[in-house]
Amino acid sequence: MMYFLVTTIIFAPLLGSLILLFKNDKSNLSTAIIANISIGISMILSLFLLISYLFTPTVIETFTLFKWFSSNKFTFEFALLVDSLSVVMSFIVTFISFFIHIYSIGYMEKEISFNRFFVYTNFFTFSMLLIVFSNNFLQLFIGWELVGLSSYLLIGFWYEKISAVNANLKAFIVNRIGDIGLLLGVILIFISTKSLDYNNLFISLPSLSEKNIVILNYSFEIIPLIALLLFIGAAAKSAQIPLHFWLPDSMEGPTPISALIHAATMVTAGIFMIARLSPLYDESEYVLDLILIIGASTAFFMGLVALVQNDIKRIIAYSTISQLGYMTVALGASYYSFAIYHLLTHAFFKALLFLCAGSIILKCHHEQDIMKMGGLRKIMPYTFFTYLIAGISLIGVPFTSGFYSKDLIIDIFKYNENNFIYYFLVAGVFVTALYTSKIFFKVFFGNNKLKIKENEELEHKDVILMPLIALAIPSMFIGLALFDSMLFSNYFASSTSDFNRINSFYNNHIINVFNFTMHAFTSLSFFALVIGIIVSYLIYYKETNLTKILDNKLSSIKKILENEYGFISLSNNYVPCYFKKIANILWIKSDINIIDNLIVNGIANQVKKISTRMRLIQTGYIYHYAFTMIIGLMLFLLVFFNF
Amino acid sequence: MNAELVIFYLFSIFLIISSLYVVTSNNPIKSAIYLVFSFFFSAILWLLLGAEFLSVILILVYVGAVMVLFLFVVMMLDINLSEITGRFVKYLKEGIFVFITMATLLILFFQNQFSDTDKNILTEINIISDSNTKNLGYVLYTEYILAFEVAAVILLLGIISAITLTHRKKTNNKYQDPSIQISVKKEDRVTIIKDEDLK
Amino acid sequence: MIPMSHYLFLSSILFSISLAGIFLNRKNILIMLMSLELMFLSINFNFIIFGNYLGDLTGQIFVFFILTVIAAESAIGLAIIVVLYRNRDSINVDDIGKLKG
Repeated sequence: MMYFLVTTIIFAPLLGSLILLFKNDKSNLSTAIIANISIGISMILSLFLLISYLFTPTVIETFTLFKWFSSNKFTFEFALLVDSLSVVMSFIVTFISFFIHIYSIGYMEKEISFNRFFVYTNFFTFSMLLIVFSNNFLQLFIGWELVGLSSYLLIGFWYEKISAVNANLKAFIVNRIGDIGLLLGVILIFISTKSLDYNNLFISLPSLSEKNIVILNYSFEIIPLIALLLFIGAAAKSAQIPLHFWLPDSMEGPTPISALIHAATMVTAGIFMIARLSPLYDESEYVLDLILIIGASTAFFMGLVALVQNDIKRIIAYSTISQLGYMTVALGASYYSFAIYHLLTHAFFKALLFLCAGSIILKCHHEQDIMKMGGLRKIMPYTFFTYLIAGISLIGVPFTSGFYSKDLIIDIFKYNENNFIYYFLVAGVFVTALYTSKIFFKVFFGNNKLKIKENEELEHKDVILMPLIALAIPSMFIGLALFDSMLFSNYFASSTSDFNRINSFYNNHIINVFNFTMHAFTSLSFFALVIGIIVSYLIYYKETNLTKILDNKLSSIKKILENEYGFISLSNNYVPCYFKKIANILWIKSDINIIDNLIVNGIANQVKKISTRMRLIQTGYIYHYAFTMIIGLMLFLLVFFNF
Repeated sequence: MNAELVIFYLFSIFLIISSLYVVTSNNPIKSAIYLVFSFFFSAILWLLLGAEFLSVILILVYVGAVMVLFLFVVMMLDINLSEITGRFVKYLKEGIFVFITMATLLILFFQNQFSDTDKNILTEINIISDSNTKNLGYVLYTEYILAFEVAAVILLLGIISAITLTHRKKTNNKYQDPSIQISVKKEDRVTIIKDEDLK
Repeated sequence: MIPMSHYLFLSSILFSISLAGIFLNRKNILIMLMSLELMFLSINFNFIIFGNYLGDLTGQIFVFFILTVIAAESAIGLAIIVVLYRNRDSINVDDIGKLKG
């Protein structure tokens, strides 16, 4: 029975996408119905699966769908792995995808390519589910590439805009760069274990732990090398430094897309992959340290960049990168379940944030600069309220779901004496509070600069408001609700390898959820949070002299942050120009001069010259021909002569 | 010193001299006549070798038909004799070089291989009777019948090609060429002078 | 008894003379054809000599067929020369070198 369940979950969105691709009538209503029903089926079934797994979390099932190809040494079967980790991921993906589909009915209703949008989003959901339910690296890679493709198609949805086209090219190319790492890692896995299943990798880990591989006369230990290469792939997908610069530009796509792909699901594929491969990463210490450093620096520095942005979607994009840094830090500390838990809560409140931003943008007639907005609190009460919920969850106010997941991660470092990273993360909390409340104060309070009229009726249609409310409830409560049942009752015991670590952490430091919550009020992170809100209130709401003083003193830092530490010019100017020069050299010198002129034309010219000389042998005179024959005959006689 | 040797040396010298004249004559008709002489002398030499039928055939066919044909063509082509005379010495060097080299090589070769005293000429080859003609006929129509038929076809070929090459078409001969008929266009056949419908 | 090498001597001389004849005659292509006939004569000679030496009648049979072919070939060759003369008005060997490279 679970076989049919899981197959339907995965293939219903694909079916929906194909039906939408080939359907003939142009009505928006039929598109909306088909798209939402296909995702709705997946969502209900995933919810059902999740609930059943909450009761029996240690069930692992593998279903083989069909055999794709088999050769002497290697067989590739299309197979599904259903365990607690994949079930929770599929729930996240389908739940958020469903509500964003409903939201998009209202957001995209005036688009000409309404149908194309839903084809792409359904296809994206299918590819994400392919990654989540795969049990071998080849299927993971296929899903990985398909997700990258869907992201490309959706970022460049409005393909007539040059900026959108540039952004989607950038996203796809950076994804590809990460895929080099992923592919090399998969190849190394195949070389060392002769198969591509996760299971075979985990079984053969003890035997591989001291082996080395020699590449170009350098000897590497194989397991850290594999872990590093796979992490490069994950870093490109999950937007860690230095492969993060595609994410802010990907805000060129429609807002539901930013919510779906670049907040909740695609960017979490990297985190998911590393959590899935947790036994591998437990064996490689060096790579875990690298992941730790990268995650911590991403969390803090990207939050700083978000402070100087004025476009509402870009602020939330940098916030996404920063929160992904938190998840990566948890992975680096080997607390994989905490990372997944933060992934779960973050998906809800970040998607909600993006949807609120979309509703604000719609109301302000597609204006995205928050400095030009103001006073929308009375005009859009629902958005105001849901943004408030999402905002406090993002900041990590106690009792919200964001608090439970984020503070768990911060507490790892508090209790493990890793002070440097602890202060980084706490500073990150401060910065998060700062920019979230900046948006809050600038958009909803102040003067109504854009002169938006207040309507008597609801601010938007139902289809836009309903997902906001539907996502606000989990953003508020899911952290508390699933705290015990998911984290500390063996839920992830069979899928990640941090079971013992988490149990000892719980016994030593958390004790129970009430204790944890009360204890948090006395922690440094809560303090940073409060200070952040107060500072933001003073700067952005009251607009006191503090604003001007800070502007003057910190202007040089502001410039650095606006340039995003030079990543913008690096990725837009330096690196492409360098490659363009190389390409020019290869094109003109090598292709035109050497290959075309020297080799191809050169051979033809030589043939022409030689044949021009050779044809003069044919003189047309018979006696010349006879003479040649005679000479040949004489030579023949001479050779066969015995004197 | 018997009759055989005398005849052999005499007629071989004649043969060589006449062939020299063939090659070095100014006049093509003289060359043709000397060629006829060569055939005569070589026919006699063939008689010495016991090929009676063939020597007579040489005269009948070769001299009687082929050389007559040659003479016909020589006389038909209107050759300006004054152009041909002279300027012969220019090519003499090449000719002599070729002659000496080829002759030396061949003679040396033959001398080497075939000059033992037991490699002598027999004079009789008898298969079913004394007569060379009967023998030839017997062998030709039993063992080499296929080659005989093929030779007949070759002669047919010769006839057809010679006639086709030199055939000049008569101009008042009315016949149809299918390829031309198919590629005819409307403009070749119909010229519209006045058509009241096309204003 | 005349040793075979004498006969072969004769045949070789004849062959070389006809060969020289091809090179000496640039003015008249008919002379070239006649020296070709001489060459065929020397070849026939060779066949009969060897036929006699080996005691086999095959040599003479072969001469038979060579004669046939020579007759046909002369006819065709002369026809070609006639047509050539019709078109070019000259039988100088130098003037018919149109198939040059």
